Amino acid sequence: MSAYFSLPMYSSSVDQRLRILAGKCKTCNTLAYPQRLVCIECGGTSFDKVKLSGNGTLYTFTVIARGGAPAEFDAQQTLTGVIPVGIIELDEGPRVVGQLADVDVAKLTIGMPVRAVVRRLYDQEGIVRYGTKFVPKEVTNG
Amino acid sequence: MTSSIRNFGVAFPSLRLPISALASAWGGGAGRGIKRKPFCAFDEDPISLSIAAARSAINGASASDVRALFVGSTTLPYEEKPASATVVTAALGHADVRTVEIRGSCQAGLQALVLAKEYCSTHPGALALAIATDAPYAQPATQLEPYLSAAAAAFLIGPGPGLASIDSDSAVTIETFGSRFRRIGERNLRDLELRSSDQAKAVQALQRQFKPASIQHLAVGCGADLRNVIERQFGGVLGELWSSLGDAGAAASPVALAHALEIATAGEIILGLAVDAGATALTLTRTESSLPARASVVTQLEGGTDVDYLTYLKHRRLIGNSEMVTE
Repeated sequence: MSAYFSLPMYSSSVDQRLRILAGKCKTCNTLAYPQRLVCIECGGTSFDKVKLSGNGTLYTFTVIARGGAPAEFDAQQTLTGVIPVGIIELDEGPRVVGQLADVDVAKLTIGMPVRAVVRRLYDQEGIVRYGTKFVPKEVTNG
Repeated sequence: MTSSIRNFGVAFPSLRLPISALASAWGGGAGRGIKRKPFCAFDEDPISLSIAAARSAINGASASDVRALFVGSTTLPYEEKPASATVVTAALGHADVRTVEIRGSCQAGLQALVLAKEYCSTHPGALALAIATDAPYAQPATQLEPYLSAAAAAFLIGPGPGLASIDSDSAVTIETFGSRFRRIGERNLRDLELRSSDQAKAVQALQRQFKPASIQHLAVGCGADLRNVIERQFGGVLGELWSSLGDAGAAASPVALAHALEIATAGEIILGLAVDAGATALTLTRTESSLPARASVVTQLEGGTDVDYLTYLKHRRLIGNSEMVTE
């Protein structure tokens, strides 16, 4: 199983990924992150881009055991053993799936405050793929 | 027109290596004066640190007003392709930015600050971002390895008054042979331990032409041997970061500048000095402006997670399977 997505796809979405840019429906003001082509509330197709804060709480989480992650994360999993992944409910409302970093999996609790940071995900086709992970809000490092 | 530091931010990696762990592995008194150092985890690098520091420095300002980005580093991920464009994407979010990368020596971080100041002096009203970010490495069990660490510092530069005025700057160039060099394609710094006095000559040459008024705080980036030399020759008080930061390459002096900005009082002069095949220096004068509320440089440095030497080698990609090892 692979999480591969092409460089053109990465390029077209990199501002969303790194700056938490949501789409705000011009018809009903519903926020969508990741951005959508069609609003799930009203069916509208016109959006403004809105930067979200990156702050939120851990809505739920799972810990992916060794061998369970997509191939792009093999090196990471060999290094760390397990990969914690959460659904984060952002302060502005949308929920997003993201890796959790700088955290002891034994201390993960639903509802804990987290914040978005940019981290190096993997190298593919010679290009470093950066993306957003979430760390506990009290963590001060970058 | 005087340029000032409007705000700043620092970022350190998540992991720390106690030097006792390194000494246990190799024996002997490695890393003189260092107790613990930050290093990049597998998912961190100078660009991720830059973004974190930049976001902290821009906090409260309008990113769309930042029109220039100067990044000083010796360890950006590409030889060609401006990695700083990722910082623009992540921290600024618009294309109306001049981006300049400065490389090649530990002076690169302060050089970024000097260039940002010069940009602002010729573009009145504009804001510039100067980032010093680095994660230098050396082969294990070499003389350099215990000292080398990782960090980033970002400074938002613009019209005054700000937190400090950027007053004067100077630089000298002295070619060095055998100390701290790395060829294209190599990952690790080398030092032939020739014990020449080239770096000390750079400090002396700088002092002949750069005589700032009484200095209260020294923010120095250089090898371990030079620190006391600089303190004797320039005066001022060396910051206390060495034991917990070590040698963060191009980021060392700028991080020390950030710390000095936190502890200096109004009117005090800070000298930033980076020495490596020459030297770059600049002086700041702290204003009365208050610092934004946030974790201090020392608090952030004291954070992080201690790991053992084996984990350190894994995150450095020195051991592991073929997909992990990159050196």
